[in-house]
Amino acid sequence: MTERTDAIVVGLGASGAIIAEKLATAGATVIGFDKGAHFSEEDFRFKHDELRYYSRGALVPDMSVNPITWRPDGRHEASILPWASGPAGSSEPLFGLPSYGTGGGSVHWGGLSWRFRQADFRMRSAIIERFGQDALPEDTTLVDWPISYEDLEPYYDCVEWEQGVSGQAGNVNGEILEGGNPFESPRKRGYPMPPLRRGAADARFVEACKRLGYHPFPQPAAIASVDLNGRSACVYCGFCHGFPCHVNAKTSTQVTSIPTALATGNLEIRPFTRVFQVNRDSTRRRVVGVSYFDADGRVRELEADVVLLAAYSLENTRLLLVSGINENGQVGQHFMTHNFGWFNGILPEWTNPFMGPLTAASTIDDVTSELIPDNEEGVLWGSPIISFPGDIQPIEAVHNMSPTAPRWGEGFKDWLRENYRRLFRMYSETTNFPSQRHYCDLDPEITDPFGQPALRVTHDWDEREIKSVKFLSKIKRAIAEEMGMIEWWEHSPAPFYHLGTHEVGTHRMGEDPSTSVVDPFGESHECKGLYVVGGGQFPSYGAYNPTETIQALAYFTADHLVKERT
Amino acid sequence: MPRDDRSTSMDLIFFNELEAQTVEAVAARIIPGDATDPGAREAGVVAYIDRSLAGFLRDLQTFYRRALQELDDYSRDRHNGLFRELTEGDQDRVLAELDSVSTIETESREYGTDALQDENKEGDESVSTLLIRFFSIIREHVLQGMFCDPAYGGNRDTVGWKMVGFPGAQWGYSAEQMKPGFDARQIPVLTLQDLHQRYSRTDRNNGTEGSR
Repeated sequence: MTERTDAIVVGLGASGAIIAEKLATAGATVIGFDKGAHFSEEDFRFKHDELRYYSRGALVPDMSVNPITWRPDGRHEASILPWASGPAGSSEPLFGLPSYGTGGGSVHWGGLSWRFRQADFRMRSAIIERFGQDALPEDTTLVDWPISYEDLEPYYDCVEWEQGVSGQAGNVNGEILEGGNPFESPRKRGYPMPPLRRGAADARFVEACKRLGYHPFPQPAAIASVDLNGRSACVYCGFCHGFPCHVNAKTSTQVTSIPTALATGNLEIRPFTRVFQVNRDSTRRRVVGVSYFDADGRVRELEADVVLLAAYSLENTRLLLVSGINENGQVGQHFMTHNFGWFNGILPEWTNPFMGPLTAASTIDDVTSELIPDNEEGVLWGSPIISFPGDIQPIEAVHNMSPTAPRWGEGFKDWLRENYRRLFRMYSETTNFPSQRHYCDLDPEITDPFGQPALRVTHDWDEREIKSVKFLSKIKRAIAEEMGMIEWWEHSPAPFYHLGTHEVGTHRMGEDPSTSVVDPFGESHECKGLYVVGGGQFPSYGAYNPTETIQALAYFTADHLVKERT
Repeated sequence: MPRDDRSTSMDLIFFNELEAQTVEAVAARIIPGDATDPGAREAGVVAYIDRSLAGFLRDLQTFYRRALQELDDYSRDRHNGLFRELTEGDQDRVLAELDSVSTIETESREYGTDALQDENKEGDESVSTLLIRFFSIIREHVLQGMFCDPAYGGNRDTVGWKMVGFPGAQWGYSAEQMKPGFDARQIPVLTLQDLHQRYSRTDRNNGTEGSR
């Protein structure tokens, strides 16, 4: 007889672990699968190792086992991510897949924890109201969200208070608070912890922004700024994005939801397993469970009333496609990702960019989303401009040197000796418009070692995004000049990467079963009892890091599932 | 110049001795140095690459072997000597030739390794393509060997970190240290081994909880 449980969660990361926690707490028996390890605190205690985590990508799935292919358009052959693969590839965590194992992407992440803005939930309508129908690109598949900011606000609150986010509120119930983000969408209450201490270079960023008339504020960070629920406050070691945390200050579900769920006795974790198929009943309208490879590579089946795919937008998409769940052809469509507009420079004094997390920093929201000023470039939706004063170890710094610096030899050495301790970065996250040209499907040629097709991404930076990066770059240059930067340089506005751990949109949520994959709770229109959660649900993509919204949606789904049980 | 007398003695687990000397000669031009101002040679970068090729980078073994041979052929054709025997000026000229092509070829810098696997499969690429890739790969490995934790065999005596002013594997930093203008060279450099000694949970002698 096939083994049975109440609920299956595939992927115990940023969202899956939250849902597992809520179901287990409500009394459901849950079995959680993860391709990676079930980590313990000991695994992360001595993580101060750039070669291991940055150069060799110790936390992220290996492309030889979990291949993803990419091509710029339908005329080209796809190959395994050319910028992140190959034996000498620099597996920079920023330009590939998120970390896996318990905690998932919330282990590697930098911890930028944003709420999307009210307007981000109705981007299409807001653009048409302001710029007219003709302003939208012809090929766009942009739609408004089926839920509003107000619907999600209580769940954002859950993320901030239950998971742990530090920050300074700017708008509580419409009252603008000193020191916070004056452009913030209204929240019911502030953060449970004050902002982090900020990196040395950040003070210059803040002063420069103020002189230019902008309104800098401390970034909300999913990092404990004070001791919290038995977790230590951040010690500012500087090995943060791409690294696990050695003191449990960084908020990952590995140290929040997973211990809580395990304490109920209702969650069983099966690490090093690989779900390869979602199983349905004979009507094909109802989920019955999953098939998976166990840690020894044997094929197993497990039955459950509810199956949650929470394995990242791309793996969720691949699992739907290999399981044949794509009646309306919407699975894999509407691929979106961020273009970071990396901006690097040298400051006049030592600011020691290896100290502190990247989130020990400030941001301006003056031109974010709907706040974008009227402009001749045709930029319709803006982005925050974010300071990045810390968390830069030597190898990463060498990968981001000035193009005018010598690449080797005595001059190279002198450049690093002179400038490493004075480096500073800024970035933005440009909005994408979903397009018919950008999608994922199954690669016709390349398979994983288990014989299943790899996911193929078809994506290129379009003219609008390039214009948007250039527009934001003008502001960054003005800030750089005002900061007194000695020299600066930027990534190409059409950068070499097409993945950045920020991929969303490929299992879109909506009310209409003919134009979306899941409903607002994440339940498949095609297959009842199957929930597909995460950034893949996003119908549009603003310019903030996605994780807090992914987690708010997870609380929203969990709430729905728990209510359904009772 | 029959033999480089500055060569550091080492245990080799992948390269033969002559290959190691060639790798060391290349590394020493990528990050030059001497006893008072250490570079890649003094950091033991060749030991890092040798160990890595025997382990984590084993897929590159054939690539390195072939490329080192090609490099010598190229050096002999253009400069009448094996690479390790050339003057530093001629060595720089050879590397500049390989680098100028690679800079044009790949705007994706260190990420331009796309065709590498095909190269190993087909084995019929032109010499220059192989050497161009070799330069971009060995440059990356020299940087890794310069800035990795000494546990990996490179960055001996943390000379790479000292060169750039990076204090290494620090448990954390104080508010005082995070002020603008702070001279981080005042902070004693720590390695993973130091951290293990200071912060291990168990005292190895009696198995009890250690100090923090």
